[in-house]
Amino acid sequence: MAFFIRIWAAVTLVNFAVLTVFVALAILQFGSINSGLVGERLVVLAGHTAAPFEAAAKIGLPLSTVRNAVALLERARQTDDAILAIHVFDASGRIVHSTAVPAPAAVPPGAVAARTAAGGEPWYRETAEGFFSSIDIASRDGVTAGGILIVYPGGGNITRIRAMAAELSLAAIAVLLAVAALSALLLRVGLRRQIRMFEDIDSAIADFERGAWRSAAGRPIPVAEGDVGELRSLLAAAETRYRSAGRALAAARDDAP
Amino acid sequence: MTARARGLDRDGLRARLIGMLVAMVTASVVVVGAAAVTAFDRAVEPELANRTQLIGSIVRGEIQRALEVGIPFDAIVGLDRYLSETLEKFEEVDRISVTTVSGQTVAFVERSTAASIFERADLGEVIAFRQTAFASSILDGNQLVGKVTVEVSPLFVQTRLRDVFLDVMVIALVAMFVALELALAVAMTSVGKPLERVFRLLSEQREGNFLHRIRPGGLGGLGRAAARLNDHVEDLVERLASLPAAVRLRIETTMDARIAAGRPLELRLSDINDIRLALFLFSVATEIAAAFLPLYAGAATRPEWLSAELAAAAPLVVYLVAVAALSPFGAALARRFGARRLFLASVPPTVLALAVIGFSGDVVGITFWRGVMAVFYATATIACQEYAIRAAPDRGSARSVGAFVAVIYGGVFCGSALGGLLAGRFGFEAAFVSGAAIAVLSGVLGLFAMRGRAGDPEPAPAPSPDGPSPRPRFGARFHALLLGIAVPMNAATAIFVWYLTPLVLAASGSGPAEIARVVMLYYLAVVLFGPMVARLSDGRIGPLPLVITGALASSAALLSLTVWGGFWAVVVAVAGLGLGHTLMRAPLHVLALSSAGGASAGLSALRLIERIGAILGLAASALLLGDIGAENCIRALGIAVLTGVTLYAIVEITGRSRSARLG
Repeated sequence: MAFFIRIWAAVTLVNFAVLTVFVALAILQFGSINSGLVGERLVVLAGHTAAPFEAAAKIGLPLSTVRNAVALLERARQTDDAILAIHVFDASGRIVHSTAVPAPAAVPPGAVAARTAAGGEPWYRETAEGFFSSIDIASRDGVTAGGILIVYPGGGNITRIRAMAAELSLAAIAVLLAVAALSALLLRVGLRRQIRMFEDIDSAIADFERGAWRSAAGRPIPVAEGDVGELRSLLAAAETRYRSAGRALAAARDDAP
Repeated sequence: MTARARGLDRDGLRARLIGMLVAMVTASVVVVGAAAVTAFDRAVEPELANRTQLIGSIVRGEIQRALEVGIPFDAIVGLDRYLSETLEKFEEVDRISVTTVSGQTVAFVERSTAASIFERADLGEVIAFRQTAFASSILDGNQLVGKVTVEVSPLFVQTRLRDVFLDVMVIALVAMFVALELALAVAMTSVGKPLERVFRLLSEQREGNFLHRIRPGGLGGLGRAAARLNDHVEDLVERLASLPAAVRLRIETTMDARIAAGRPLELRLSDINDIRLALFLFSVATEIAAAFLPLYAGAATRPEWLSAELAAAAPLVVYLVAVAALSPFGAALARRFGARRLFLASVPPTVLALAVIGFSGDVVGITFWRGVMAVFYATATIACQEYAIRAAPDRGSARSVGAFVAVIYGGVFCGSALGGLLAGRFGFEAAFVSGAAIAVLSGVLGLFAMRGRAGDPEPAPAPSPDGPSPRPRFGARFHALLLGIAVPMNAATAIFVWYLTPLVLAASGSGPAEIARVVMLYYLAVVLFGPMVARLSDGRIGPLPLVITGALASSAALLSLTVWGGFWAVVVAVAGLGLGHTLMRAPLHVLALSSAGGASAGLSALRLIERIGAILGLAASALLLGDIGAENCIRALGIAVLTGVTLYAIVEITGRSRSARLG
């Protein structure tokens, strides 16, 4: 039984490791898919929202002069109730129009860093300040006149990832338990010859031990037969040799001056 | 008890474990995979709906604006182009169509990429339950004039999960190897080795020798038996020591038993299995970069005089040179210092080299440390080989060498796959650092497992009284085998599998993980079919047909790339080459031994020349790659393999007919 349990434990441990890695990779992938889906959508929305502002910038007007700007932004915000705010910022990062009341003065530092790293390309990023998505607005001479920044709640992604982690972990634990039970059955049947061999060895040693202490009370050690006979006869012969050597030492001690 | 039972029937246990492990790990991964796809599908459904709604509303807004300025619905210019641009931004969208209320199509765009095999899988169809089509109505004033329909791929999540599934399949394969080695190690340390130790001590004590003890341990009765037998010895030793010196001397001469004078020595038994897990992990560690090293070196900063192609090949060439240079001395080092000490001494420099390569930014550093690693790879593997040979009851048997080769290839297979996966997910540095950590683990395992006498230093063999052995004479058949079969085989591995496959796949857009999955196919064939080929070679078929078939198959695999190209062509070529080389590898050694008249010098010459061939081939292809391109390099390689096997076949047939004529 102990032999079987050790093999089963090793196999189950490896299966546990495989499932742990699978769940970890799946969660990483889910986080990436989830933020990608939201980010890509917000970038498209930002691009669509930027169109009238870009038209103004192309004819040389500052972004702050666009009429009905807040209404344009509000229409875009209403496409998703979860959007916290949509800002229009100028080239210096100052917010010139916003759906937020009161409107913040400038683009948050996390968004500034992300925008710099993006190098003029549309971008989205989850930061400690929230989930941001943005697109730049080009002016007549191709220089950035500013941009659109959409602010989305940041915690939602983490909550969804945690929920996914819990769901997948639960599934993995259930599968691990089921496969562990199944593997116990499979190993028991598949390794029956090896398990039987070990049990025979174990019982041969136990029989010998029993025979040894009974022989101390005068009962002769029985002769073993079968596949484990060699082990039993070796044990008996070694025991006999030990006792004889021990008796010789005892006699020598008694005879010593 | 039969010898088979005493050895715990290792081969039978291995065969049974493989089947059960495959079933268990596959079942787990498939079921959790299905659960993941279902959960992902459900979780992204609201966001996909949001995206589809956005597309619909944007397209509808644009159309309604055109309608408001008086453009007729069916005369809006550029609607198809606009829809195509929108389609490009949302990869989950398969189709967007704009239709009138009467059902007439005004504009229609569809993604051109066909569904992949994975996307067409029945499992995906079964577990995808999302709504796949969304419609938005188009108004002209107060009148309904048409609708925008956006159709989303029902298998979007599955395609996004494809890489995760492929990575997990790789992990599962690696895990099966690890589980197999672990289960065998558990069986051997719990029962196999304790039983062997008990038997050895019992045999000694039956003869009246109470000189040794054994390491305690073993499951159940085995542990008790070991304790009892150790106690026999310790009791007798203690009682003998307590006797006066004169009495002790007298009884030692009269008694029909021999008792140790001082503390009894521990019996240190050696077994081939002692090296298995340590060597396996060491091999995994050192081959962690097998799938991406040319990419890594090619992208590193390099001196101006060094081309990108040569930079990519440099670490491989230096590796082969270092291994070839050190291999002839490895066995002597193992005998001089002991296999255990040599292996353990090889681990720290290997760990250091792996860590430094991971953080090297220039090709000179990468090449130098790869060379350092190659030197210690050679010493470590030769140390393990010496241990295995000395531990085998019949020293130098095919079994001990076969077990050693199987473990090395299992490690290479797992290392290349795992390294690519780690590099793809977490970066090259992470892969090298993981390799270093695995190498440390292998050292720790070696420290505890290689404690048998086979790991001790061995005195140099005394010179033969008949003088030095005569220099072996190799005939034309041996030379033809060497130049026609062995050199092209090793050159093909180094050039195609190690060098060109990563470069060609990377150029076609594959990442490290995908390259690793392809490279591992080469080693998978060796691991799966190696034992079967060895049996066929020893059996009715014999080595010659296998070598020729394997060489022809590998040539066909390489030349197939001149007929078709692309990712799947490379996959088929790598797998075909692996299969061809598997057919050749073991029979080639048999033929080399028989062609050289059984001289082990034949094998040494074979190893040396095939490595030199690989080095020359790799250097030549790196030099020519820029001028002739990868396709021509591979074509030349395929022709070289084909020419080689033809040459060998002619020499073999001529030699046989001459032998037949001479009677």
